[in-house]
Amino acid sequence: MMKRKIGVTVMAGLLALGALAPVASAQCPPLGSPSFPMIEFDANCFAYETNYTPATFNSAAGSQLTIVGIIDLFYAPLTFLNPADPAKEYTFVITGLTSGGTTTVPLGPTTLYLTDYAGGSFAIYEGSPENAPLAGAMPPNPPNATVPANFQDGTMLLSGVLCGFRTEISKTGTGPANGSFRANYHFTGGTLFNTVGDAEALLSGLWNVASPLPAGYSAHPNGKFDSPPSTSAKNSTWGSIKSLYR
Amino acid sequence: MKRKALLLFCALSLALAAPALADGGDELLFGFNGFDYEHPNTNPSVYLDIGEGYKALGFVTSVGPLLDPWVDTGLNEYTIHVFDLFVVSRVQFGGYLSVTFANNGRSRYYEDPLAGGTAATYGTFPPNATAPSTFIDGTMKLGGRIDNFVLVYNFGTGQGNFSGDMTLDEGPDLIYVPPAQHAGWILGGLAGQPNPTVPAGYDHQISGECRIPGKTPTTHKTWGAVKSLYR
Repeated sequence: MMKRKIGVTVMAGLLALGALAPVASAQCPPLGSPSFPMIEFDANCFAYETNYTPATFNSAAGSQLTIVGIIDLFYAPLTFLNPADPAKEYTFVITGLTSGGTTTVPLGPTTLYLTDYAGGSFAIYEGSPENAPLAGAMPPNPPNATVPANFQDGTMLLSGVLCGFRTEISKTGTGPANGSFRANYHFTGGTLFNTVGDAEALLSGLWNVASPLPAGYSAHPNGKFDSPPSTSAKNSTWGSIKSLYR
Repeated sequence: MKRKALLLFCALSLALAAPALADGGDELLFGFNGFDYEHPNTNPSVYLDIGEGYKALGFVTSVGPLLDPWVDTGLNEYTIHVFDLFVVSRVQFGGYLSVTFANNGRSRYYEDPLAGGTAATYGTFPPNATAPSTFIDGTMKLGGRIDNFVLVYNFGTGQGNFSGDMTLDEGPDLIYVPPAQHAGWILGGLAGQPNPTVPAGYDHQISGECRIPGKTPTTHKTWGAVKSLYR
């Protein structure tokens, strides 16, 4: 009887895994090439949801996820932006992510907590003075007086939309839980839109749920926006160009 | 430069002083991004087969308050190397994989001058002529032993994560980390294919951080209350 029960459990697990084959990301536009890290955010980034249970890593269906962060580094083609300038700060806010509910999957000694979010849009700002709260002083239970307000003040440099945002948290034995996030994105506007274009690129990184989090926050993401691939230039003759328009 | 030197001189005398930190929290030691790969890859048809090695290379993207006074990205390039991790067990169901590694892995971060140093270059199919060599040819500043390292990966969605206990135990920058904060963690997120950033021969893009415990908060007590603890 015991062996049959174990067999059924394993089979149920396999079926569950099969049902979790890639979903949202498969429906997103494909990523272009080449691409490189473009915008990096590390210590000062936090996520919060309207209906999330930290003890079980469970995001209820319909929960709204918001992510706020301070940008640490810019790479090409945005290297002219300087996050170390004490007179400015570069921040971003991701909103409009609606949880599809968390699925829990056993995998041997590991348990997986998988959540897909629909929708999602973001904006990147250049603001002054530096007023977004840092990791050691995140005010509790957002939204509050400064979160997300102080992450979305200033000039909007870039805006965009996400596709296929997904978090995957795992816990193995008595070790700490850990996770990752991933989404496709493309830019849609902002003062620097023409510098980057609207090709599809990757947003991804660490979804840290192991570290003690400020009250009311669900995760500490650490990651990057990769660069949209640019359309490469090539040589042509004037006659060839004219022929395109005849 | 002179200001940096003066800062270094002053701070050396304070190296053993514990910084003021948020009560009860851990803190960032440094953040990084990069790429990972298998080596040795004795069974190329199986990702992280038993006995195979896991390695990662990358760049330090930010540092926390303990290392911040000693980092100058205007003068130096900072890189990270994770190595000596060997698979001891793996569980795979469908597209999901969970892997544990033998203890005594290692992580190190390096400083290499921009002027006169060699720019770290990933190349393809590591190890190669530039990887890991150009990531580890500077001065090793800080390193630690990694135990209880676990990697989980979802081949269907191309994402995963790793985590491990990291105990800092080497490097000249060790003096800037109070002994009570040496036992920390290394955490990372993995983004695999489709991912156009990943050079050929590498497996995933990684984004992560090394974290250390925060300072144990102090509380006010009377002398009598303290004495009563030891009676």
